[in-house]
Amino acid sequence: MTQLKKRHPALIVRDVIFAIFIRELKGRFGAFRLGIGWAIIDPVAFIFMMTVFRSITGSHSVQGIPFPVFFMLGYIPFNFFLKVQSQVTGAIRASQGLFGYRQVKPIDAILARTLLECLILLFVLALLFLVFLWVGVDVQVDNPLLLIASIFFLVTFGLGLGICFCILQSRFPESEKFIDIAMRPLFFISGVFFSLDEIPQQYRHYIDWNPIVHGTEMARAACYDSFSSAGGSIEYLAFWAVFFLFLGLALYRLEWKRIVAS
Amino acid sequence: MMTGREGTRFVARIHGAQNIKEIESFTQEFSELGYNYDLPVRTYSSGMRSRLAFAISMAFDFDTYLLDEITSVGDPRFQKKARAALNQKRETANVIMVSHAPGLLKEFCDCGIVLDDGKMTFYESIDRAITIYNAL
Repeated sequence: MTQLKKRHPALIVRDVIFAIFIRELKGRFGAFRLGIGWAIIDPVAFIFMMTVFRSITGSHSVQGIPFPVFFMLGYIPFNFFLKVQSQVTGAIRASQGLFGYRQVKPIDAILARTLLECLILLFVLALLFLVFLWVGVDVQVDNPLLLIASIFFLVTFGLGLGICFCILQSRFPESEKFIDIAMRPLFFISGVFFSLDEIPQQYRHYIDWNPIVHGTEMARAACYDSFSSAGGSIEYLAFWAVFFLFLGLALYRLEWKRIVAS
Repeated sequence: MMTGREGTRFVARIHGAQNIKEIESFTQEFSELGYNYDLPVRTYSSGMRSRLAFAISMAFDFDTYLLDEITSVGDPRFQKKARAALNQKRETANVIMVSHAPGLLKEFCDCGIVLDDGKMTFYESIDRAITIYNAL
């Protein structure tokens, strides 16, 4: 009935990623009454609570960054890492039934989820920027390229680590529990609600080994020239992002056939 | 959580089909699912599931169809329809089928492969393959 045209391999990948993307979209928001609304309510609630807590001390900014923007520039970049990582880690399991179709590969499910997560967070970020402008909070983006770079490398880091975890879990299901426990404290040590400068110098080395701190630091430094990061480095984040992406893709190449067959 | 319709759309998309609406209506009609077509696939009985899967495959002109125990799909009337659709496809496509029913294989196939004790043997004539199979 329907004649199929011969497609270039890249077009097949595009078609498959798009098909999974649509499927994920429904799975992500279709089940909830407020749908995509939750993607906005969640950061707004966090920013509001943190701003109230820290305003109790009487101050209202960190190195010239107003509190609401300060927390947004911690929470959203952190989520670019964490959400991509957790979505990618669960990607293969969620799409296992689809690998029966020859053109659907695990990497398509991984890329579709990464794409969806990035689009959601970019939408939320843009919306929050507009809201801050509208209510008259002093938002600025002094170095857009650096902001793009820090978000890009946080996503890459999340993607790489996510692929590693995903393959580890498909090999050793028990590892899911360890990964869960290991990832939990990340929220508190990734500079979501503090900057490196606020940590006494002699304790900084307990914090600054974590590449994500460098991502949140650089996102803030990118937006406000007045914010001088105490030791944040985009190169350090980029190194670990590329390292884990390479490790993840190498593991993927070794394991994808077993994953499709299982 | 996919409904029959969404499943059809997914398959149409990964094959790069442009006429998704047309494929949907064909599949809905051929599978005889009626309003169930818009309910989640996990609520289907196994018969409904195989009817859907068969209908989706029939919506495309593939080069080769791999079929596993096709006669077990649906009631006798649906089976008759399925055979007719498959016979039509056979004019332009190849069919590789797995079955324990010699009659069905005779109807559709020219050659046969018998699997026994982990070894497979190819026979040019389906009749010979069936004779060997029955003698096992």
